[in-house]
Amino acid sequence: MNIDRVHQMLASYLQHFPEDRDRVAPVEAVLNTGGEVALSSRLSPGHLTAGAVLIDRTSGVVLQLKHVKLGKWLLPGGHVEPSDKSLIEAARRELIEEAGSIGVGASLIADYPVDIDIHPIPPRPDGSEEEHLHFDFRFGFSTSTDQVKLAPEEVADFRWTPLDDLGPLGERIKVFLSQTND
Amino acid sequence: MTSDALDELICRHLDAVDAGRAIGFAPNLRIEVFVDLLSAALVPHQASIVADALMASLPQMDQKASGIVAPKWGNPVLGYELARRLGIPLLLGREDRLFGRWFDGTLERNRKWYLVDDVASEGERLLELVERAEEEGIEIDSAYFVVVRREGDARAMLESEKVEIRTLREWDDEDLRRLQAEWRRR
Repeated sequence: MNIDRVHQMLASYLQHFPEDRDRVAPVEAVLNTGGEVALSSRLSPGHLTAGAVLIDRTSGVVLQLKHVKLGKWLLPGGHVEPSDKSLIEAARRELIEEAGSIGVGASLIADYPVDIDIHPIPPRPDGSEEEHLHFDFRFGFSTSTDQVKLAPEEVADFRWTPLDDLGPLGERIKVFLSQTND
Repeated sequence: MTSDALDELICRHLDAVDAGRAIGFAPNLRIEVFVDLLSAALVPHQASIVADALMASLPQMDQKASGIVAPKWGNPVLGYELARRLGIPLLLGREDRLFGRWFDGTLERNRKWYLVDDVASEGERLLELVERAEEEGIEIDSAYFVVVRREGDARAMLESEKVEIRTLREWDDEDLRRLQAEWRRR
């Protein structure tokens, strides 16, 4: 993926959510100084990742997966791969890999991220990877089915969580959903 | 890192702000400039330079008993850089709960956590972070900053919560302008 596409996605995000400028400033800084590194290797302090906020619009719940290696409940997602043509494609690929064909038919609710989050990933116990940050571009998808098929090597379990548990992000997604209902 | 080098980094960044080249905020907004002064430290290699300076003021860390908390809206890269160098865990504080969590990272309540950020100004959000941490059973009794802004209430607010403040610089806007003018003359 060309780094310019990531810049464009960040710019589009800030155009829609200018109130998040402070919060995503580190992402902007890394892209401006070492974006290629974030894309092409895992040496940068921040790895570029793409995530999916999958909403079952019939019941207003969001998919969470229990990650095998980290033992934590997370949104579907993962590292951007060189073969990914876009961040959206990376998010959908991760969703399909981790949760099965539910990701194939899921509808994208906006062509820009609904959230960009920075979070720490702890070191691997075997020492193969030190603690690092994930710069996670999260895209909203909606579905009307709840048929999840887990990738057991990566995901131990799944659950559907009320949209309200996402706080302001949940409110943001409700606005998207109401717009697409119109 | 020498004291002059830190000041030079700050002045260089301020010049970039004045020229409208800095990341993330508009020029000619004086207060904004000061608050975001060390956005320079968001750039990873500069975060590393600033981390050197902060490292010198941090106490000896016990890797089994210490950790760093940084606000997501502040400078998480600086917090990350310090945690990485010290080999201790990092927690990032959120402004809003997500899935019931205020903090991302591995929350271990038996550790002694140090709050780290680049600039402390108004202090309101930092105070909220400390209070949320306390509710979660995370003890923060020290905070480390590159700059504490005298015009703000951060020092008073955090000290009211019995958080000890360590800072490399404590400045007001006038100090900063004087420093920048001297640096330009050089």
